[in-house]
Amino acid sequence: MITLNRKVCLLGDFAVGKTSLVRRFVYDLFEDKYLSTIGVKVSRKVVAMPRDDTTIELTIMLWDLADSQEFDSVRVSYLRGASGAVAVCDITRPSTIDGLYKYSRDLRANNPGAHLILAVNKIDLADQRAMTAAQIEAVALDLKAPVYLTSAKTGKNVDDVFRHLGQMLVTNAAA
Amino acid sequence: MPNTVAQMIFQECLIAYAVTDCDLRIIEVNDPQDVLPEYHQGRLGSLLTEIVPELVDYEETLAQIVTGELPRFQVSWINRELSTGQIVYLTMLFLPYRDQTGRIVGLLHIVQDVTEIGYLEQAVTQHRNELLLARDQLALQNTQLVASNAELKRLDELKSSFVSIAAHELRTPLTSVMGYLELLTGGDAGPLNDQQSDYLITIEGAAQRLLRITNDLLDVTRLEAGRLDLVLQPVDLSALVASVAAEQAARLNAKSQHLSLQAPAHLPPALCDVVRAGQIIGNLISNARKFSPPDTTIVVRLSEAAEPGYLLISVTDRGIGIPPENHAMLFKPFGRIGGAGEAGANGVGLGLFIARSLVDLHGGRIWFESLPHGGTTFYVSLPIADRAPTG
Repeated sequence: MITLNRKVCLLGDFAVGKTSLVRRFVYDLFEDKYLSTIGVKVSRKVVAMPRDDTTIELTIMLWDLADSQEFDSVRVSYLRGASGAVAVCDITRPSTIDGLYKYSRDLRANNPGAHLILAVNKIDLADQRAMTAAQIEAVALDLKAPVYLTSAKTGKNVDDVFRHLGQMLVTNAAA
Repeated sequence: MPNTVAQMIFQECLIAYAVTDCDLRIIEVNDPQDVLPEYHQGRLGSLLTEIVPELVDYEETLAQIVTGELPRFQVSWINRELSTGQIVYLTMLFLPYRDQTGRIVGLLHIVQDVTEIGYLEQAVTQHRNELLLARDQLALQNTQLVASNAELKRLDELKSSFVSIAAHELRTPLTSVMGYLELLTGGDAGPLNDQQSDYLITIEGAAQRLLRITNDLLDVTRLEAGRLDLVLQPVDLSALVASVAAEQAARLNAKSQHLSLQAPAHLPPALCDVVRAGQIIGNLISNARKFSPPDTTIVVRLSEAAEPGYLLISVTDRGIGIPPENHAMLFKPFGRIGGAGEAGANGVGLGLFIARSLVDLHGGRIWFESLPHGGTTFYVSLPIADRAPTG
């Protein structure tokens, strides 16, 4: 079995649910109370990914990054060496789309080959949705990223986001 | 610097460090306060990148430091969750490690535990983010309210337009009905027997009531749209009250009710629109009549108001009074009070709304005093017309 270690960053504005997505994916847990992250929290998850006729044991180091302007200057140091990123926005707050363009630019400027995937989170808040399908598709197209509608609360599509990104990481890996 | 001083600094500032060779293999470790427990597990000889989880995928960056391409590299505010659930915050600094000749012979990894300041930073960030979320929420609610308001306004205009058209369409055939009723009761179509006369009187009463309602509806739409203009002129209120009383005489007589007008001599004229002022007084008398029992007297008093420059009209009935829970809705459109049916009153609840709107247009005030089973008095103030200069 081939083993691979890859760094993946979670990018997005504050309170979009980055920490919750990681917590759901790694521990299958959810905490309703919002606790803002400062700096970075690194978590590890090992997943088995198929590639050709073999299976790759992929260790994903998830970098859950702080989201405030104060951390703009240090975000670049966090992004170093990232093989991929999950760009997260909140379906109830259209303004959280705006920052994704900057985050993806920073990611690709520091890591030209990095893969990006878009998670439009909090779809469990059905009555508060403030983005249309067309808007979401347009953003995904702009970012050149596959898109998933996710809910860290219910777990909907959370595994799929990370597995899809994992597949992108192992497909292009030279290991 | 003496070694003991360095140790004191490391201990007090919660600093640990490791020195590696150029292959990133640890050759020296100092961690006096368990800042980085991995140092103790890995100890000497381990690869730095293998024992510090945050360094996965940083091999290239670290190699750049060892080769001198990168002078330093720092990762701040690394969150570590302990088994107790407590979060500690670390700052990691990577520097080239040089020998006495200045040649790079490895890497110096410095880690400082900044948990104390990290908690403060987290608390500040938390508060700020919660405020920003609340601001976004308020902005969203504001947008929704603006949209709702616009929609309500549109619906209200639609309703007013419908009511106005409907009232106009009702009034035209009503005029025709009233005209033919007059011909019938006047004997133009031949003599009527008593039963036919009684039926026609009932029809006429109903038609007149329908006409009043349609006129009220039209007035409401005009008032709401701000399309009602006043023709202000000096008006003798005593004469106006007498005129209104005469119009309502038949209905007062039907309940054996009486109207008493109490007015001082030489009351100055009011500055008002005679038709609309008559409508205000008429609505108040009509209201008093509806809510007063038979064989009672409705009292209309005229005087100069306590407020300089205004006249006061009061209309007192002997009705059941207005329950306090109905006070707030009294001047609203269709604000009929509970129990109105018990007192034998009828109407659609527009009279007081129209009266208040017309008083407002005149720059006056309307209010009331009421006691349960003690009757109600409505007060209206209207401006005094300028007196002609004397001398």
